[in-house]
Amino acid sequence: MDLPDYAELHCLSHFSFQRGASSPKELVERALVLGYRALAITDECSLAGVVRAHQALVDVREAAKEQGRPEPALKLLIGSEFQVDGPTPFRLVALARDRKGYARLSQFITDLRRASPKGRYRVDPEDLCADRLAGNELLWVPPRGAAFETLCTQATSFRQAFGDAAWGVVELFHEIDDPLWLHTLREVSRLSGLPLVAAGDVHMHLRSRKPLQDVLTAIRLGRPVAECGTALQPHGERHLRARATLARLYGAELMAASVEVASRCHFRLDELKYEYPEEVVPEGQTPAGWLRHLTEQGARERYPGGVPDPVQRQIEKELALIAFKRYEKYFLTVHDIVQFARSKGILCQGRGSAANSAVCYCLHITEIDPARANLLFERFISAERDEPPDIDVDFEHQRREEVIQYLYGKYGRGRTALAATVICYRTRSAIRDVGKALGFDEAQVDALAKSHFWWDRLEALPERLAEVGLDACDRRVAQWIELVGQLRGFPSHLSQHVGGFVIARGELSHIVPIENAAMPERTVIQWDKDDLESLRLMKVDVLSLGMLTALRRALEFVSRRRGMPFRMQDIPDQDEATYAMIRRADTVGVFQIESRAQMSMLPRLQPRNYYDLVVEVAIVRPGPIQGGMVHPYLKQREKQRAGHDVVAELPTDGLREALGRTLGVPIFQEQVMQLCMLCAGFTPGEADRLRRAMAAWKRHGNVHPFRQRIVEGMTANGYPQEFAERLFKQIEGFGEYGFPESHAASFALLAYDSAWLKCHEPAAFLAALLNAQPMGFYSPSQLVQDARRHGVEVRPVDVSHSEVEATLEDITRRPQPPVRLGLKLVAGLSAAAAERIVRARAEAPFIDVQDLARRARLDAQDLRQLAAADALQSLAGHRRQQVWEATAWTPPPALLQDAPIDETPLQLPLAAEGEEIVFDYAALGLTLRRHPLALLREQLRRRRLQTAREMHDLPHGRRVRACGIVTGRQQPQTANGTIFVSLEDESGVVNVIVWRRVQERFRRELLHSRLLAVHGEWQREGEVRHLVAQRLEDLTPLLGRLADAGLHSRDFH
Amino acid sequence: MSLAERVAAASAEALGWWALQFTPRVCRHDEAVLMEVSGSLRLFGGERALHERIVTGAVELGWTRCAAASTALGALALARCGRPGAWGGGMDCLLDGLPLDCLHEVAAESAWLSRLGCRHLGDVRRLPRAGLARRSDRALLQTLGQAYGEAPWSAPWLTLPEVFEARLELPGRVESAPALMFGARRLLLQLCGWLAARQAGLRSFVLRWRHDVHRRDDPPLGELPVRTAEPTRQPGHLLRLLGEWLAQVRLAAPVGELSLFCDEIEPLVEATPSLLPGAAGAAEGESLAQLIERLSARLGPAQVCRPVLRSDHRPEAQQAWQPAARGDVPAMVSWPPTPQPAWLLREPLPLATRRERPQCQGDLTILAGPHRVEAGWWDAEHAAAARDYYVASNERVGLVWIYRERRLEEGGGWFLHGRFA
Repeated sequence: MDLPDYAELHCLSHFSFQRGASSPKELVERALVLGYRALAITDECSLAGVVRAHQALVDVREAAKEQGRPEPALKLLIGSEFQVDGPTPFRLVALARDRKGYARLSQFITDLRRASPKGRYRVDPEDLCADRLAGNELLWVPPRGAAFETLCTQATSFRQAFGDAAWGVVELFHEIDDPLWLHTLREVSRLSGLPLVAAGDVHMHLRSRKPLQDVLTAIRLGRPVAECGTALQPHGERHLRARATLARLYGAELMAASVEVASRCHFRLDELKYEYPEEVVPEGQTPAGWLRHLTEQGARERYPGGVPDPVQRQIEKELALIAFKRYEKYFLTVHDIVQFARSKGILCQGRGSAANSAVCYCLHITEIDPARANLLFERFISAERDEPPDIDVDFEHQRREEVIQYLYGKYGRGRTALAATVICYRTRSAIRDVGKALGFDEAQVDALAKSHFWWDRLEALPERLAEVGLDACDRRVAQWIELVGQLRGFPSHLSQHVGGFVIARGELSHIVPIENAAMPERTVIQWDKDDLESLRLMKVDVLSLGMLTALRRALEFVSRRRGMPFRMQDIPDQDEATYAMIRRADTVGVFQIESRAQMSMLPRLQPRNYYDLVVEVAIVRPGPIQGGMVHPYLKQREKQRAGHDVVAELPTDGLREALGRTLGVPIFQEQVMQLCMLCAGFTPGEADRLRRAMAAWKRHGNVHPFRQRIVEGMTANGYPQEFAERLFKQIEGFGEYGFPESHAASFALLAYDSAWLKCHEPAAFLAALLNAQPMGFYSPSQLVQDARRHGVEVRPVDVSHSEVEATLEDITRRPQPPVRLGLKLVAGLSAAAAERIVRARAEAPFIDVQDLARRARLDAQDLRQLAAADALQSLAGHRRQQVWEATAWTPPPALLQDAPIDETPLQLPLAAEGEEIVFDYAALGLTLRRHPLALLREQLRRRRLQTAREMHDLPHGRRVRACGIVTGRQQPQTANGTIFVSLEDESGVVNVIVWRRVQERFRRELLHSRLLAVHGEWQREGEVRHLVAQRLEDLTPLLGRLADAGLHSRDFH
Repeated sequence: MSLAERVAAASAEALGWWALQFTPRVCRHDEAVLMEVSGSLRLFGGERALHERIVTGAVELGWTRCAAASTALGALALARCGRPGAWGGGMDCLLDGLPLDCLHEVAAESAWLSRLGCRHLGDVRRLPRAGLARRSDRALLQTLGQAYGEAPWSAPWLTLPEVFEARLELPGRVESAPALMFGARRLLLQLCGWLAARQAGLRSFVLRWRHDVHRRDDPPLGELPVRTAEPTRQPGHLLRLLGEWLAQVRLAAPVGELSLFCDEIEPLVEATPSLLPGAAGAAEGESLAQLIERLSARLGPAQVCRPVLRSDHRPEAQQAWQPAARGDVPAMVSWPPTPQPAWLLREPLPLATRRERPQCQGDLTILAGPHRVEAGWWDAEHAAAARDYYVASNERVGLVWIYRERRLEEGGGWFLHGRFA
């Protein structure tokens, strides 16, 4: 082999949005095949793609090491490309030489990005000064076609600015003026002293990506490919080319120069040593000592009667591990945030692998008592697997902003920013953008994109095409589909992570560039959570959770009821009544287990303890459902209940260890890795790669290498081939949707706590849920109805009694106090007006409507809204009377302030109940009168439609006809297109299943009815009841004017 | 105004002009056209005959709701509810049963009225007047009174102007003349409706534009008089003509307002379509654009084409023919910086090779290249191009533009594609 060495110094990945047509991984792998000495990833004003390139290279290296092959010699260079404005714009490529140079480059990008609106930047020639980019090799990419004098001037000033670090780039592509261009540049080089180097302006890893690159150009320009003309690249030469080709084009000297530049750059991304913030450790303390101090202090609080021995041992073990991995400051940082929240009375809870530890329990980061669930704690951080600690902390959704402001205040904006979320093309958006670029008309693009529901697999596309009248054999259509396949998964832009904060010891922008986010005053880094994990950088997730708001409010009510503080940890463990309620699927409003799917699983799974809830939370997820874990698991539970020791029946110790707690069926994401290590002989590194690959299976279908490895590994360890295959099938189904046990554990705790409150303090629970809206699956109307069915008295909104929010009246009443709805519920009433009403009332009760209006300084609009909501009852009688009085009010001029309105009273007749219900819904979104269907019952009887209660006890297989108000339509991604509809009548809720076939026939009825009649078959399996629809009928007209008054269905996907 | 509203307004205007044939007292009110026909009953053969005639005619114009009543607003309310109404007495009873949204002024207050239990106009009328007056806008009681004939109602009657003149304020400043077409189109359509009402065709019209809407006294920035060969009121024809003219106009400054003026009309005689240009047009010298306009109109637009430049990497796709009458002149495309042959072959000519050298009346010597072109994969009519172009020459053929096919499935090979002059 006498091919000359080459280093590609100018290469864009698809993180140069709408320009690069290959992923960093594809580029790295291709460069390896071609035997390049080095590859630079130089995305435009961005370092967003470099971590993925780095990780791809690390993976290849490790795999080679494990398989005893020689390590590949490719070197990854970290750099960035910039467009420099000016009379003759040119491009500049900066390549980091060392850690300091990298910091400067990252700072340079940060400065440019922060000075421009999101997604843009601007470089002027005067920005190019040597000290801002010191420590970088700088490549001048001359504008082809510029005048010779201009080139000379640019080259000279470039050389002057950057001295020995400056290079001029020659890029040749088999164009007719190549020889002339090369000659020109040689002259420029001779005159300016700027040395020349070969580069490829790479936009894709293979020539075959050219069509996709053209499509990206078209998307960028916003017109069809056919109209882009010469804005497209003339040829596909901007790919990673074979060295033989390059040698013919450039000659030895220019290629040698590329290797020379590469050899000057020795920065590696893994040099980025994360440095934890200092201030979490008080002066004079060591991190380890301080963590131990806080843990021991917390342990004394947690166990006033002395720390139990097993817990003490666990603490010691964990502290030793934390010290070994040097993670003390991470725990201290999280502790600091949680401490702040606790000091402000903000409820919070941690989750994630590191959160499930005795240390976190003692630090009050979680409430999972190690004595209560010791099972979980063995899998705390693993010493072998080099994964960074992971703690997400959920905060009350109404108060998370306070925590975020605390972080910004404590660490400053230069040291903390949000992680990015890379927004990628989904099938639907890819169909749209490619379709437009290929010039299909809008109606066709729209039809295909819409018909292609997001759970569809791409393989089903030809059928979808036929449905919208496109021929899959047509060449343009075939191109469309193929390009959609390529574009799927491409990043389209960076967005902000919901709450992942990165905190650094020094300037964060020396580690990673920071950009402006779409939200004002927020900044995001250019890396997402996977990138951070690859580089072992710390991130703390500060998330918001509506249920925590509801819980805090419910606990406050209960504390007032009991006359003493009642905290989350005061909720008794293992309460039988609570579990019985959960088993009945009586869980409207309960965290996580309130959805339709969860509710139909509860009677089957029969949770009896905390760990059952952990399984319940994790099993009703796309992963386990698609992997087919649900039925095997339920079967195992049945066997266990029948007295079998199913765990002992597992064939090997490895299986018992990995799967024992879930009776031999893998349910959690962690179990997959554990299984591979224990039974298929995976190294920790391999298991880690598997975990990362799983997240991308859906997009790339890239399972094969692992399949072979797992099946071979297991058969080598004596497992039957068929068993291994079956297990793999299950793992494969998991894909990216496997739910981690460490998160399920924390969620299950909140599920239990909220269930306990619903069971024992339903009034407090209802009031708290109403005050935490919007959250959860159910509307206030549904929550109120559910509570009333459970015997909670709910009192109407009234200006003489209601506070701004829902409250408990007569708070110590047994068994349950009544809930008074709050003024907040009245549509169109301003928050300030509600406050004024409550304040004015505190001074003296209102005498009449005028008194109310005057003292609470209400305007005509406020008063009319109150009357519309029937909230003036105590002052003015029935609603018609209220409206008559309220509308008479106009704020009088100051002089007439106290002059009463003199008018003969008018007696209006009482309204019919139907009218009252309509106006209740319009003004409050709910009614405390009868259910609207109770009024229609006579008519429905004549149509032989049954109530939910009548159907409840019917046997399986009976033909029934139900009718109710549509309160929800759900199309879970796991249900293969089936739609679930909830119908509500005066006696309860009926769950309807609509298969695809029926959907097609009754599409209009399904999507547009508010009152829907369903003819079908009653299905009953134990406590699980469904109505399988065969015929649908839209009865909305029966609702008459009810239909216009805000009975809205909550539709979920 | 949204597009739909603009269309509705134009349609109402046309209906109003049509209605003038029955009575001089026609007016437009909200979305409707109201006619006072008591004076015309005798002329048109009585209530029933006139009613029928109006309904039939209105339906043809796309207006399906029509009602008669003894007050204008009463008729309007009834028509909105799809009731035929009544001639003579009994109107009050009918009105009492109508829902609140049949009169805008009542509908505006229906939110609270309905909460009082009012469903129909009758319910509202039964409320105490003084109480109602205190609680509602003055317009509510006034409108009710007018509908029930208790208060007078008057309207500006519609008249058909002798001279057509209409203005249009543009939504934003327009900087190029062809972009004025959007606004001018609306005015032209109105003009055609007016012509239809007068049963006339025009000979000429003038489009004027101003810089600023608010300073009417300023002289217009510019104007464009347009003449037609024959009297016409075909919107399509006039639009095309105006488009051609506007394409040639250069604006001195951004335009904020347009106006259209026409006073030269004559009764329209239906012209017989004729293929050849008549004597009238040939008399005086016509501009090329006028000629093209006329030829395109008579021969069909696809028959009169002009060459245009297109931006593309493939030499054969760098020019195309398009109908000359199409207004859109493509923006100037940037010319490739590389040498281009003066003559391009319609079909590339395959070249023989000898000792791997392309032949064209002898050995060709390659002077420059390759110049790689890979494009057109999206083109449904042609196969994608993947070629290496070269400039080559020999004594017999001079300088030629040849390429080597790079797609092996096409068999590779050399082709002659153009000649340098």
